Amino acid sequence: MTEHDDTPRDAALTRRYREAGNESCDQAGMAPPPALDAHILAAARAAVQSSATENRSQHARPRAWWQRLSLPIGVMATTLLAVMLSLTVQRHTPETLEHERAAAKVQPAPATERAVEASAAPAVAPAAVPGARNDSAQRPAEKKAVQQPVAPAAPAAFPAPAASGVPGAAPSQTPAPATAAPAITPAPAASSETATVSRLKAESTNEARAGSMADRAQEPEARALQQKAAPAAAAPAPLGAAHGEAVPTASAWLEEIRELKRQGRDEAAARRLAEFRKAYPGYALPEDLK
Amino acid sequence: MGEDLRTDEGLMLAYRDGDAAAFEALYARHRTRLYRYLAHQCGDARLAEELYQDIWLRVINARADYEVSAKFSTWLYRIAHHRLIDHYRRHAREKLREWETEDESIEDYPAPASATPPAEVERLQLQDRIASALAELPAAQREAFLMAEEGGMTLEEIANATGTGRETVKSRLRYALGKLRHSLKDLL
Repeated sequence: MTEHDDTPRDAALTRRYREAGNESCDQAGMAPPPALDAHILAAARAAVQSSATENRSQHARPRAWWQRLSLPIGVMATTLLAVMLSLTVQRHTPETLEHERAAAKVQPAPATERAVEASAAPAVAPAAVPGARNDSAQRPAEKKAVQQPVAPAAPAAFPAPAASGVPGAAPSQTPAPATAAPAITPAPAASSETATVSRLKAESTNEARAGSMADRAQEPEARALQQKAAPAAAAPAPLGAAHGEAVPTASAWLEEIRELKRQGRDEAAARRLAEFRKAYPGYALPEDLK
Repeated sequence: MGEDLRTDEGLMLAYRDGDAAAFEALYARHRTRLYRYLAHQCGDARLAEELYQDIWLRVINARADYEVSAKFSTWLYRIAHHRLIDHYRRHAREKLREWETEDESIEDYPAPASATPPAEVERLQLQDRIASALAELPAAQREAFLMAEEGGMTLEEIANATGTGRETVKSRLRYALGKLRHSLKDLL
């Protein structure tokens, strides 16, 4: 057909074929009958119309209710989920968690306070509780101390850490702090409890602060536990934890000193103040304790 | 029906997009050629009509998926080729065998009119001579010839429509032309 086409052709044969073909079309019925043409063309038109109708009906047909509502429901569900998530995250910020923890710690305190007041005893040190103790561990000791307030010879609830820092030393019976052996820190745990009680009086409105202070109070205890495990390697502790003692927080300690002063035990208060200065050399003392 | 200047492929695309008039133009271009192709191929007017209708209905039904991947005539004759093969598979085993085995001996083909019995020579007219000459060709050769003549197709297009190689088509066409020349030499 084309110039580059190498299709074998025979021009004479093609001419005769076309002549014969045209003839045969005209004479021998070599063309489709008109009825067949009409039938095919009608089918072609019907196909176009039916597809057009189908398209129209697809556009016109209302969608099912769930299809129509799927988008708004989806958007609403997503929004709700996002709001709930953000509220949950907001509610559980570190401050909030500390708040809750502090509140949980403070809750049983009133009973202890009452017991302490009832005993009318000076700050009692049941025994130096080994290093890292959490509040829940402190509480039984506290209760015990409260129940036996005037029993200096009472056995300690927990073995006291040895003055030399050797683990497993014989349990000491630590009486009142005033007469305690110098090697043993005078009942820091009990002091801490007393301080907690006092703090409750003084800072009952500041729970968050109490929680953070309680956390801080645990830090030296944990350090003391580590030192107990490796006493030889114990670093010099400026806070008085070198010998595996639990050191009360500064505010608790100061409160304890105030309490001693209030009770008229000036000598003990002075001694505690000196110890405090040693433990917190850079601490700016409040006016009433200077 | 006015002459539409669009190509076959353009008309078919227009029909796919809902233009029924485009199909009418396309149909007018190919109706006689396709019908002759079928009539020569099957040698039976009734069967040719049946196949013809079926082929066009297939075109109509395939319109939605139509894409221009080849010339429209190639596509149309491919459908026709497959439809014929299907028919022979179902109804005429020996015809199908004829498609598959090509007899290459030129001596087996109709002799010139002068050599045919006198009663028959008188009866045949030009178209009958050509029709019978075509009918005597092996189906594959006849198909190649008819596609080239009726469809105006090139070797590549015939090869594409029949699913055979270009060189095979070329060989078939050469044989077909040689045999037809031999059969019709008194007319050429």
